[in-house]
Amino acid sequence: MLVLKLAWRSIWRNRTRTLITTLGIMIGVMMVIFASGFAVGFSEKMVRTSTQSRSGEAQLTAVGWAKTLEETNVMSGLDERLALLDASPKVQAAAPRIVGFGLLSIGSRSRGVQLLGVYPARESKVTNWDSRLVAGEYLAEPGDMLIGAKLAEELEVEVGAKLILTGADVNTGEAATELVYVRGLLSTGDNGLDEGAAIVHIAQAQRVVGLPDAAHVIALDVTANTLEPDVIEADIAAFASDTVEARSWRQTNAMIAEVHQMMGAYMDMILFMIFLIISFGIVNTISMSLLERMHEFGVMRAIGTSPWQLAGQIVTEAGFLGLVGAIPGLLAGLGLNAYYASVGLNFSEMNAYGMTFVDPIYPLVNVPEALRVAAIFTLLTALAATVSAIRVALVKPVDAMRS
Amino acid sequence: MSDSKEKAEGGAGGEVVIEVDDVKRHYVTGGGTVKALDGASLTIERGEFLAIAGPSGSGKSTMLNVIGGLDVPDSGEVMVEGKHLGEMRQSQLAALRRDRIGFIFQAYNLNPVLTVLENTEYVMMLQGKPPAERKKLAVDVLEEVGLGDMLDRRPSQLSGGQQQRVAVARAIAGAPAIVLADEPTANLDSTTGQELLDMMERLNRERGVTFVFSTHDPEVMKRASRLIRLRDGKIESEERRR
Ligand SMILES: Nc1ncnc2c1ncn2[C@@H]1O[C@H](COP(=O)(O)OP(=O)(O)O)[C@@H](O)[C@H]1O
Ligand SMILES: [Mg+2]
Repeated sequence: MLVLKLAWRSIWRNRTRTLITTLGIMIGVMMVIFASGFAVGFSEKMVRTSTQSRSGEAQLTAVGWAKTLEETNVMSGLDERLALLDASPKVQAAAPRIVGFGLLSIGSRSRGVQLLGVYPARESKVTNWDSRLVAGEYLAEPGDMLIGAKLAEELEVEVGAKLILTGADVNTGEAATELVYVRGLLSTGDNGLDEGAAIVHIAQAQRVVGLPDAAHVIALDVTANTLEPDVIEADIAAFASDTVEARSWRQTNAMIAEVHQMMGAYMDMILFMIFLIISFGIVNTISMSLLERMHEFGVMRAIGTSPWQLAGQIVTEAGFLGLVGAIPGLLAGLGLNAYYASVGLNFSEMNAYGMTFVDPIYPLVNVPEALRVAAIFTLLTALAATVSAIRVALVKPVDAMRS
Repeated sequence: MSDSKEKAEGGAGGEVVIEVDDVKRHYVTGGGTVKALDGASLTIERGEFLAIAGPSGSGKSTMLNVIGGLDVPDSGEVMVEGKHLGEMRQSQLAALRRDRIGFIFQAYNLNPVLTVLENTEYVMMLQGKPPAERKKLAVDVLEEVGLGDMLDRRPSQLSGGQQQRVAVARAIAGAPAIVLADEPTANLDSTTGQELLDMMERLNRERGVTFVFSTHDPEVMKRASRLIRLRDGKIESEERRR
C-alpha cells in the first residue's frame, strides 16, 4: 500500500505537468472510444442495411446457384420447404424469390433490370422495402411493381406509370411480356437495388421466366441475432441438403462481412496510432520529471530499494498517470457515444461498399469495449515509462544522489 | 603510523563488521586526477561509535559511500559482515543496505510526500514486514527519538533537527547492524547537533548498532569512541577516545 501511496502522491507533486499529461491521455481515450463506438455502429448499420435491404439474414438456394446465378438452377418442392421453414422456431420469416433478368420499357426508353419475383406478404417480413418507399405504396395487386427511385428517374416514370416487362423463358428462350404498374418507388440504400431492379409478384416473374412453382432463393429472417452469424449458420444448417445450400449473410454478403470483421482490428490499429502520437508527450514529461528526481531516487537506492523495486515504483506512478487520464477519457467517450446514440449522426450523402446510408448512424455504447480501451491506454502509459524507469533504476546510487 | 600499509584497527579485539582494504577511488576531471580515496584501509568493529574527520574534500563521503556499496572503488576491497561488496550484484547490495545498513545524510533526504511514520516504515516495507508489525515498530522508534506526537506530519512541517531525527528513525527502524551518517549534524545548530548525537549514542549503546559518521566539527569529533582522520584520501591518523 505504501508503494501505491507513494506513487499516487508523487504524481501530484507537479500538478501542472500531471494535468497536461493526463489531459493528453484523456483526449486519446475519448477519441478512440468515440471512433470505435462510431465504427462499430457504422459496421453494424452496414450489415443491417445489407441484410434488410436485400439478402435477408440467411438464404436457402439450390447448390451452386450463388456462384453461377444459373437461372435454371432452382429449388423445387417450394411448398413443403416453406411449411418446414414456417414451422421452425429458428426461422421468423421465409421469403421465396425468383431472381432473373428482364427489360423494362416505356415509350422509347428501356432498361435492363434484375427481375425479382416475391411474395409481398412474406417479403415484407424479411426486407424493409415496405418502409423504404419514397413514393407510392408497397406491392398489392398482381401486376404491381416496385422500382428504385433512381431507376424511375432514369426511365422518367412516376408512381402509376404502366411499363412493359419483357423476359425470356429460361428453358426455351421464348420471349414473354407482361404489363406492370409502378406501385411504389424505393430508396433502400442498396445501390444495385435502387438503380437496377424491378420487384414484382412471384407468380408474374415465374411466368416471364417460365419457372412455375419454383424459386431461386428463399431469403430468411432468423430468430438469432443478426450479428451472430455463427449462431445463424448453426441454426439453418438443418435446412441444407444434397441439393440445397443454407448460407448466412456472412457468406452471401462476403465483402460486408469482411469489412465488419476487420473493424475490430482496424480500431485497434487506430488505438495504437493515437497512443503512439500522445506517447511522445508522455515519455517526454515522464523522463523530464524522472531526471529532476534523480537525487531522490539515489536516496531510495541508498536506503535499500533495489533497482527493480525502484523501476516498479516509477512504472506504478506512470500507471496512475494513465489511470487519471483514462478514467475521465472513458466517461467522456461513453458520454459522447451515448449522446450521438440518441440523436444519431447523419451521413445520408455517404456512399460505401455499394450502400448509401439512408438512416443516421448510431454509435454503439459499448462499456466493456470502452473499458478495454481505457485499460490498454493505462497499460501502455505504464509501458511507455518502463524504459526510462529501468534506465533511472540502474544509475549508480552515488551518481544519482550527486544530481 | 610508520608503515604505509598500516591499517586503522579497531584494536579492542571485537568482531570486525567493516573492513576497508587499500581502497582507491580516483576521478579524472578536467583539472587532473582527484584522488578521493587513495589507498585507505580501515577496520571497524561491532558496536563502535566511529567518527571520520577531515577537511572538506578529504574523502569522507567517498569512504562512507564505498562502505555502503553506493560507490565502487577502483581498486582495493570492502567487506561488510564478511561479505565482499565487490562480488555482489546491485540487487544484492540493495538487499544488504536494506537489511544491514542504515543511512543518514547531511540534508536529511526524507521523502517529501510521505509522512513521518511512512518515511520510517519504508525500509521495513522493503523488508517485507507486514503492515501492522512495521507500523508498530516505526511508532516505537519514533517515540524513542521523541517524535511520537508527529507521526502524521510531512517533513516540510518539521524543523531541521526534527527531520534529522526522522532520518535517524528511518535508518534504525529496519534493525540494521551499521548506520552510516554523512555529516549528520552539519545542517544543525550546535545544541540540536549535540542532541542528535546524544540520541545516536543512546541507540549505539542500547541497540548495539555500529555507527560510522563523518564530520569536520571538533565538537562532534569529541563524541566518538574512535576518531579517524582523512586527508587527501589517505588515513592520516587514528585516536581511540574511550
Ligand atoms: N563524481 C566526482 N567527480 C569528480 N570529483 C569528485 C567526484 N566525487 C567526489 N569528487 C572529489 O573527490 C574528493 C573527495 O570528495 P568527498 O569524498 O566528497 O570529500 P568530503 O566528503 O570529505 O568533502 C573531492 O575533491 C571531490 O571534489
Ligand atoms: Mg562530504
